[in-house]
Amino acid sequence: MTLLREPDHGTPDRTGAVEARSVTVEIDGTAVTVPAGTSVMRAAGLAGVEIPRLCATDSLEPFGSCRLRLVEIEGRKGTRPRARPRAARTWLSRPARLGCSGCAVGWSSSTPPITPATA
Amino acid sequence: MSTVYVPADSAARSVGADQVAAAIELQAARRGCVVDIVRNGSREMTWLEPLVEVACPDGRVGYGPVAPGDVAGLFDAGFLDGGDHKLGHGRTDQIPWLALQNRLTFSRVGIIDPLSVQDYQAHGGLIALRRALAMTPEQICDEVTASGLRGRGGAGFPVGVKWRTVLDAPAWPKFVTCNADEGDSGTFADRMLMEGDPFMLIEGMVIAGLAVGAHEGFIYVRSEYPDAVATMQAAIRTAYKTGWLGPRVLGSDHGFDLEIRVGAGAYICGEETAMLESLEGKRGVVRAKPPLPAIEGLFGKPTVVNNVLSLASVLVVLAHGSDFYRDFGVGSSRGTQVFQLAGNVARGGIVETAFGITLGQMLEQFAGGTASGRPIRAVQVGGPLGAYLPPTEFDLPLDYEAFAQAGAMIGHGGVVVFDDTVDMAAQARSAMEFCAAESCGKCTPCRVGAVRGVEVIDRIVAGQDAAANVVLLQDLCELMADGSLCAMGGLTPMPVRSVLQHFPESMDGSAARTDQQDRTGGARR
Amino acid sequence: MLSAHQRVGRHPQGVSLPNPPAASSRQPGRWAAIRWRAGPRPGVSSREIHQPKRYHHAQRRAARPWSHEVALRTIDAHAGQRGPLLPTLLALQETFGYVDARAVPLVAKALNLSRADVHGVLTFYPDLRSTPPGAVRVQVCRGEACQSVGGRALADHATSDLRLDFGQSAPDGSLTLDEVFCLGNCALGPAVTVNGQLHGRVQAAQLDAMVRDSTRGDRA
Repeated sequence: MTLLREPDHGTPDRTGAVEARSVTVEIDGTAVTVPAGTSVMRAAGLAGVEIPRLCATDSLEPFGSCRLRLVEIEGRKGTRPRARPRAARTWLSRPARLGCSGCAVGWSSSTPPITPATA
Repeated sequence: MSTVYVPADSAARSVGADQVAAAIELQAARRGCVVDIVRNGSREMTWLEPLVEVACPDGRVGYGPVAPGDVAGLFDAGFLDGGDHKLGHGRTDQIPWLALQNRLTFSRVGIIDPLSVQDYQAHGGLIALRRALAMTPEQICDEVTASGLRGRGGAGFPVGVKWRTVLDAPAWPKFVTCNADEGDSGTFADRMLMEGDPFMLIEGMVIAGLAVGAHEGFIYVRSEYPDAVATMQAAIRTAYKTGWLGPRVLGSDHGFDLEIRVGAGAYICGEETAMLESLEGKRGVVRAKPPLPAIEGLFGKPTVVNNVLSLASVLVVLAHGSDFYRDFGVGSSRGTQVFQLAGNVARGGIVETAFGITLGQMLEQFAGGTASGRPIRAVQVGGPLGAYLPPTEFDLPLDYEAFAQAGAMIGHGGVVVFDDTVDMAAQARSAMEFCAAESCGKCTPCRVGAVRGVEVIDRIVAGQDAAANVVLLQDLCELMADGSLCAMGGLTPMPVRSVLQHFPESMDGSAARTDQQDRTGGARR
Repeated sequence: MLSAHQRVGRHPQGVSLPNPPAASSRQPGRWAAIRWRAGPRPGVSSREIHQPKRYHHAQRRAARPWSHEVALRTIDAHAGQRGPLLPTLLALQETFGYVDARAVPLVAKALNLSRADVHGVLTFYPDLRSTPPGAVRVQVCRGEACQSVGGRALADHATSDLRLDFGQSAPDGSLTLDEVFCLGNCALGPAVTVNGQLHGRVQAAQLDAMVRDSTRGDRA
């Protein structure tokens, strides 16, 4: 029996959302264009970079309980990304004891392309 | 006939105000004096409670703290005419503790009968609402933004900006909610305001509704405040009767309905999204943001979530103008802040003052040191998730930025004083224990981290590999601070880190070695 | 130096209030002219709220025994509210003293929720009980402000003296001991409530006396 493996990008598609703008993002050297409001996780998945997660699936709105993925934004304190990041680094918190973080982030358009690095 | 004021505030009642009122009634009847007893709010000088005031020709004269057994002596001393007595303090409003303050939001508390519509209007009530009814929603939002008013719940987000976001959101209906779940230990300003001046909160909610286009409001009060719940419910019933609420507010075209919702003992419902979940009838579990409540809040609709003090401050802004409010304070912290002096404090209560005063000045001028008379060892500012500060940090000015830079926070303005018998390691453990007890359970850093935090601190205190466990504790704190979904887990490390930073001797494991020390006497570590 | 309108007790616009009547003129006839402290007024007077009617004070009233009809009426009374589950459960608790297991399916059906949803809310909030409380309910505050004035020792005394852990009831149903993290009486700690009545500056001996009096009064 063949198993059809459908990719799960973590958070829902935002095509058709109110803000119909696109953002181009460079992830690990691969450029990908996504609708504004798409999460870093989904953009990374579309760019072929699989980011581990526990509580996210693209058929549900972001839940934010596993805290496995944290995004650190240069120029902003803390690890909760907001709109208009300048540049972002993602890091995977230590898997041993605890560790989770918010998966979903949205940003609006007209920002310079961001260059997140993998963990 | 004499008018005597005996507070009905729950703090005053907790030390016998009801018995004092009954004793006054009894003595008056025996002596044939005609006395009208008004149960007002508290003047918020808790060390003088029950504070009994008598209306005299040039002002009210206060006597306190009054016990039921003192009442006969007061009558003998002619207190109904403001006579001298060892419990007398002269004109209440001239007591330096009060006179030094800038009571803008607390101007009516303790002065008026809380449920009297005449008193409320005679003391400036409804001026702000009448003005707001003549403005457009955009104008109201602009005025509040121009005043620089920041949220008083702890986050400090500009109120006008939040209202503008809700106003501009296209969805309908919109809601106004007030977060009166004042769960932080060391804070009681919201409670005193609701018990002492309930119409102020109602007026603030109606104005918020005008500003954002909402016609329904909810006030979420914690269940641990039954007197505040009862007072607010009575005030709302009265407001409906007098037309301040209902389909035509003050005869205008704008309608507003207001409801009290009582909590059920969960501290986490003081977090705005958990409060919204609770209002929706669910478990108080924190939501991920985005989306912000201003865009998708209660039942997915645009919702204003404001603290009691924020809404009370809005009245000051609209009644006096944004310039008046902005001229108080320093830097980007405008207007007045309401501090609550609590804990082991000689003179506790509410201090409402413009920003810029230092913590040391607050403790010296107002708190007057500890209640026990022993030296102050630490002060925790901002509630159970605030940092513990030693005397070396007392010259920090009480404003948001200065405290944030020092690794502390103002929060809701609670200042809890500890004397030198405090066990700082136990306080650090208490912070983790509190987080573990009150965690909503959704995110791992908080749910699991707090429990592990308690275990690690227990090991440190027991002297097991203390140095290594302190390193582990620091690592745990970093993770909880960076990784938690909300400020509950995110700020629990703040008191713990402050103990590690300012009181390292309490966390080096030596407490276990000196276990046999006399515990009844001298200073603890 | 505070300006006139900042002084406590004065109208913010600077208009001064009428003074209270002078001692010599305290006659009933003059009262009508004094609007600052008027006589009967519309709405509710402060005396009414002197005895708050709801919640913890309700526990001193004998809770009703379980009744299917009363439960349905209670549920129905709140069904029209937005987000009715929590107010409904609190109302059931106020009526019966706790939320009986038999109420859960009734609530679920009326509000179109699953029993799991109702169970989840019922077990999440500390105030909501699934078992009857003791006749006397004591809450000891364990907040930081109360800790700073000996609250920890008082809490230890309560648990050891009553031989109960927090959240437990005495086997004979006479008493329930609970912990609470802050009662809002932070400048007059240690704080305790006994059957909803708040007490400040409570010492161990005083707590013992209050518990004794309450439990004795209940048995009388």
